Amino acid sequence: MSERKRLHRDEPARVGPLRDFSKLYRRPDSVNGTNPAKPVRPDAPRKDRIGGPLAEGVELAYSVIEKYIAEGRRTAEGISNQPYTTRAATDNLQDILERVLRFQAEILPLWIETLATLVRVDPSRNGFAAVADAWPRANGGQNTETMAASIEVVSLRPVQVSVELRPNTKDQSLVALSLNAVDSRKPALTDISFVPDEARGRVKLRIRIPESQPPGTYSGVIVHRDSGETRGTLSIRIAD
Amino acid sequence: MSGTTSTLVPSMLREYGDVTRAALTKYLPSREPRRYLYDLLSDYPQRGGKMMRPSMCIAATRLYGASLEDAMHTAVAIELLHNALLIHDDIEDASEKRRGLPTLHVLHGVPLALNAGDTLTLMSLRPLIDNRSRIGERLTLRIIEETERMARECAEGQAMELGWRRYNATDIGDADYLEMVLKKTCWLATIYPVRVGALIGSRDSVNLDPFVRYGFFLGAAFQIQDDLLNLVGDDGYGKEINGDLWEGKRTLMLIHAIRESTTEERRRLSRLLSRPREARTLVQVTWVRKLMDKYGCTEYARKIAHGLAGAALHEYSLLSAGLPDSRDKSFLEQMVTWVIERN
Repeated sequence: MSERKRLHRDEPARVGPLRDFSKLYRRPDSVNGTNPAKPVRPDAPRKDRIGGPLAEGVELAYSVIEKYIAEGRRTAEGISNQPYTTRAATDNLQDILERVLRFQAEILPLWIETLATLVRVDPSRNGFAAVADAWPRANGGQNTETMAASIEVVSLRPVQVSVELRPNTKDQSLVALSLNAVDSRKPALTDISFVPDEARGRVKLRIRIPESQPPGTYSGVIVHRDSGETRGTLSIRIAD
Repeated sequence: MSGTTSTLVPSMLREYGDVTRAALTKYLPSREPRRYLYDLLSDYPQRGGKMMRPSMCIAATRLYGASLEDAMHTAVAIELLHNALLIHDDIEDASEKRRGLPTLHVLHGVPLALNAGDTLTLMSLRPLIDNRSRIGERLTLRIIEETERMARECAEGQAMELGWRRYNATDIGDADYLEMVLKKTCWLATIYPVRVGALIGSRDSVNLDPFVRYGFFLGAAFQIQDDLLNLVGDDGYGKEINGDLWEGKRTLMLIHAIRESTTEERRRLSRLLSRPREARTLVQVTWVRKLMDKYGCTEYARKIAHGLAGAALHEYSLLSAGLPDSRDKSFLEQMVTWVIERN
């Protein structure tokens, strides 16, 4: 065993827990823009600042960008009362549902437009039109045949309807199950049916909204009458 | 990860630059009035350029697994707008050279160049609108929102710099400079390309704030290096050497020189900077350059640029953590080293 005396390093002074790695290189008072760092006086006497131009520059730059982001966040929140981040909070089921509906609302006009175009092109088809997929398949797959349907809504209030049917849904044996709101206290919408539209030679989706139905978003599935297999989704948003 | 700094960045800039340039030419009309308008629009794009902005947009899109085609319209719009703003910048700065050739207003006069810049700005809207057919209306609108913000930031930054020169501001600090660069340079050069790229690639499902930090540190390092090259660049630099001194541009080096100068030197500098470009003499510009050497201004700015590059790498490691390794991931990381090593 060596005769030399062992060297011991002093215990480092405890300064507080460091729970976020991302703050390692940031100013301690700069917490992701929510508590912006105070800008360093650019023309402060050099002796008051340590680390040379490189460290000073980085410190100064962090103070500029954190202050900027914090200001941007405050401005955005003042304008829209929404978080600065452009992304909606995803821990709220209602928010997710609303985003899905917004997306569907974009698809529906295109879907209907596509149907109308194809019906005009080939009016000899009786009952079902060959429908080109409005959206390219991710894998470059072939277009498929999908059923054409009219939508009839009976409601005293403005409603927004979103329908999405799976490709190859081409027969009339469809049933829409009741549509439910996220809030279970709201009654389900049940008066929904697919009926033949003799005049136009296609099926019609008929939806009746009771006068007393609370406003909100109601969603449900469309299934095949015989197999019970899900063939699509239906969402209705009732305005106040 | 693949490739090294010396090969990966230039090769990907070439690769993405070529496809962007090919797509961009489809947006440049070849009809009359060619001589007075459309020939002018295609002048700067045909001179080359680094294609850094569209390449970063494409890489950020692919970083999240989306395809190059998803980013193409936006990449073209970025490059069109960049060229439009170069025309305006050259007029505002009274610059004489761009990409190794006389600037557009030197060739054709200010009115025609100004009109060409305006037209190119408006024409950059078309590819953004064309995004609808590829990525849908919602993302298209989000990108237009981002574009509006970027344009506002750029205009504010440009106004700050022009205002400092117009009213001969000599009390500017490093923080003022960084804020101006954040707005004037970083938004269009780095922040906006990676933000819209990430927006497209992730289908608007990631927080874009980290891209502001990464883009800011990268863009600021880029700008400082650009300002340094204006003083020490070689023949391949493409702009007028010492042009910033002739124009009285408030660079980090000039700000440092003003700060470190004696009272008498500062008074002389202020007098010199208050004069318009055409009233400055070679003797005066040489004196300012020597003053910068006296106070180690280029070394000071170089150190800050290196520090900012380090911060950019750090922020990038945070935002890219968890994303699979790819050429695009390496490219965006190595861009940081590339911007301060280029000459």
